[in-house]
Amino acid sequence: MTPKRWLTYYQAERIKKVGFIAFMLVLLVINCFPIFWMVFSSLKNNNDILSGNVGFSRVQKDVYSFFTDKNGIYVFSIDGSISKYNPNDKKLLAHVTVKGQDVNYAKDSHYFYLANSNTGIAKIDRNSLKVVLQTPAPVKGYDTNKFGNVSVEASDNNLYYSVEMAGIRNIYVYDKDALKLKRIIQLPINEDSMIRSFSLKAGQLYIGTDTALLQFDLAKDKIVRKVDLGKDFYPSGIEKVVSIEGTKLQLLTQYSLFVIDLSVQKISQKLNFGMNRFDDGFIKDGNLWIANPDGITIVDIKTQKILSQQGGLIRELKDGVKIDPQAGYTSHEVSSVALYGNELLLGASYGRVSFLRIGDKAPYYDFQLPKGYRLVKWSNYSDLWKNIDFGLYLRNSIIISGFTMLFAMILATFAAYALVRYNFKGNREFGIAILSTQMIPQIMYLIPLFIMFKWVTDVTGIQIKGTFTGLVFIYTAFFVPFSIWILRSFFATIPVELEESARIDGCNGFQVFWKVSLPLAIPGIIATGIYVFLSAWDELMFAWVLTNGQTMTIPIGIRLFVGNFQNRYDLMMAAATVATVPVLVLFFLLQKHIVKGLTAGAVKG
Amino acid sequence: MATIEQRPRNYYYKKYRIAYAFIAPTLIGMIIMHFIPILQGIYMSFLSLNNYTLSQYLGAPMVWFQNYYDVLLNPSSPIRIGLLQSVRNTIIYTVLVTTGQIGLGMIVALMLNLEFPGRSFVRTLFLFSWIVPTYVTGILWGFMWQQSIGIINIILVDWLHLLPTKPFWLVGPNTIWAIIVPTIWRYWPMSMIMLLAGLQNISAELYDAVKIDGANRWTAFWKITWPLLRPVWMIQVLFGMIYNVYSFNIVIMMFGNGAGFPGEWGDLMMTNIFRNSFMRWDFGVGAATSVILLMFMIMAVNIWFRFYKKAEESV
Repeated sequence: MTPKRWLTYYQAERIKKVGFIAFMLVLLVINCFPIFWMVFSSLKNNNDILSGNVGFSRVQKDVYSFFTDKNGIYVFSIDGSISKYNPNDKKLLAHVTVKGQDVNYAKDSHYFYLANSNTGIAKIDRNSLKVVLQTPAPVKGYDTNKFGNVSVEASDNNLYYSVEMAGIRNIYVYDKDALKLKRIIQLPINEDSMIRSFSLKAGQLYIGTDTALLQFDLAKDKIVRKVDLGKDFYPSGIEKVVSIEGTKLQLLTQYSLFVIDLSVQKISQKLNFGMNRFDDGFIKDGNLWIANPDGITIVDIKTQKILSQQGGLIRELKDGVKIDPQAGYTSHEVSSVALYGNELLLGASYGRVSFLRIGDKAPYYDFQLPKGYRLVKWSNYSDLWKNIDFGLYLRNSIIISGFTMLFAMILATFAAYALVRYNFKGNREFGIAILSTQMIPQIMYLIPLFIMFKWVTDVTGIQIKGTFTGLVFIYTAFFVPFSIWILRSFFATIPVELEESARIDGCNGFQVFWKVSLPLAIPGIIATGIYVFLSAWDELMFAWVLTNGQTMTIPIGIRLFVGNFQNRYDLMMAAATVATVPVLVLFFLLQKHIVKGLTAGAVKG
Repeated sequence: MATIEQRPRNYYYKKYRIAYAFIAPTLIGMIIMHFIPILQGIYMSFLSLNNYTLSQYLGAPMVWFQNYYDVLLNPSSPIRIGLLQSVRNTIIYTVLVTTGQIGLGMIVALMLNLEFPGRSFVRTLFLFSWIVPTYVTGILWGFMWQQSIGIINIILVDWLHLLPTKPFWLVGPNTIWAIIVPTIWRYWPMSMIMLLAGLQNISAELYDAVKIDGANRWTAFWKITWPLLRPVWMIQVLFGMIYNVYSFNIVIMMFGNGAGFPGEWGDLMMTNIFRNSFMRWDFGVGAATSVILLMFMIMAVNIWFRFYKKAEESV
């Protein structure tokens, strides 16, 4: 009597099979996950990584400014999108997004000009909101995350563009019709100073740099005035020139209102708002209306006094957009304000737009801009070369690993062949010596070699530390014993009969090796060579101590992404991916040979 | 087979001059880069070789066994406490990593030894983690172990709710796990490939024989597979022992990209020696510690070799 089964044989087999597949899949997923996570993180925004967002977050849609005409209300947001709404029924008429960061806008009678620091300038038709022309950014070769604000202004014929970045002292002038770079104005400012932002008023371009105000006359096409204002001129990014009365110039910068007396070249008055705004507000009845996070601030231009600060003008949003608690926002913050007829337009963070009658305490209508795109930062892969000199480290790694592979293979091939084929005196001892080198901790060599190199330099003046030669020499010496060990098994598989017949044909010992054995061992040599290359690519300890800034390899250089000066996990993961890919490709090309060589060595002992 | 039996030795030619020419460059290189430095290293372990005496090279003041005394016996020496911690960590680390990588390698090798469609593809996927450079492994896992933003804590706490609060992995006693797991992850495919090669050499007839005797898979594994694979996994034990005792890259890169201290529960022998030598600039102590480490390794390999010989005789 067989015991009664609670499952039939076939059911049990099936469950086993499914379980087997499931178990293997789970193992595979777990094993590949860290690599996936490396690549995934390399495409993320660093702020997302640092705030613990798992997926790609959407870009913020904070309202930058408004523009209105009889056809519609245009809302500009900081992610580079323009939305056109019907002023009557507040329906979305058209929408355009130009992906990029640090966006700024200029307008003329037919077009909008959307400028940012990575994708350049886009000319957008006002009616259809279609991109008519696009031109790449003039400033290249910098890590895009380090750019600050972009300034752009349109005159009758030209478009003026600059970007806030240490070392950039140029204003780029574009032809407005063709979006062609016409000329570059280099500003006469200090090396360490930079352009913060500029503004156009009455044919004059007022440029705020770190410590000075410059006036550029468009008609005369030159700088007509330079006013050194010193450290008090902060924040110096000019948003708007409010008024010019004789020698009294009134400037609105990022969160201050300055009155500058041009005759004595001094700041005569400064009013701080202490808030972050994007827009330049508007002037109504001699008063300046600008946004504050809660609502609107009204300033009397004549007396420079705050007349009123209206708060609570934005209604709490119940649905439409999910507010991220980790981003630090508790509610929508007003970022821009505009006048539309007798109504106020309030733009706030997360793409919130409210309509309000002047004098009212609450908006009568709100809507939400379309959602932002998900930010997949492919630019990390171009930024990583600009943030640190990663190209140099990659080149150094390739040179050092390549030469190590070459030299180690030459030495090891000869030695391995001799070990396999010749029963010379000391063969056994040599074999043991080779094996025992693997047993010695590498730091045991590193300490004496480091001190020895230093001593040699002190005595003879020959620099070894910090050169390719020194490192290649050491690596070669270290990887030769292991290579010999693997290559031995390859040579052992070559039949002796072939060599015998070559000898009978009159070849001498070297010719037998060169013409018979070596060609047959080539696949094995290549596989071993790749393994040596990978090992040298992976070496950290010697490179750490024996390289300098010019000969650093990837493992040493990659550490600069996260540390004292910056915390760029995104770039670090991108660099790690770049460091892994060549290894991956090499390995998969020669996977069979490498595995064969290693297993042959290990299984036979 | 016949020809090999007739020719018991693998070596064929008897004119040695060319053989000496072939090994000469390697031999010279080994003398310069292995033999001389080791002798110097042993000598340096008796010197007071620090930042001030560095330029005197081998003429630095001789202190005889002072470095060894500081490292091993001196109760007031901070180096000794640090070293004892790192020895404890290295032992735990080596035992667990070696066991883990051979165990996991064995399980997957047994699975991959079965016939199923897409087997070589799956095998390639399993090799993925082995290809990642070790410094990348260190950086990557250091990034994943982060307390608040690390994906491991997000998965364990936020998604699966396995733990009530997010633990610190890179600080305190958890550190030992934070260095063990990535090392197993990086090295287990190597064991798997070796064991798989060994498994494929075992003939299926043996399994058929025990099946007739009524043994299930479990007993078949312990009676046939495991003993027959003994040479393979014993070599893996040796490799694991040497690699893991001398493990450096993964651990050093995980803590502040090499700038940080791995902590009481993460410091290994190699990171300890490296820190003493190249961050505290006390090369005498570093050399003395590496000599001690080498002595222990020689002892351990000798013990291993006895077991291996016994195993070879019994097969």
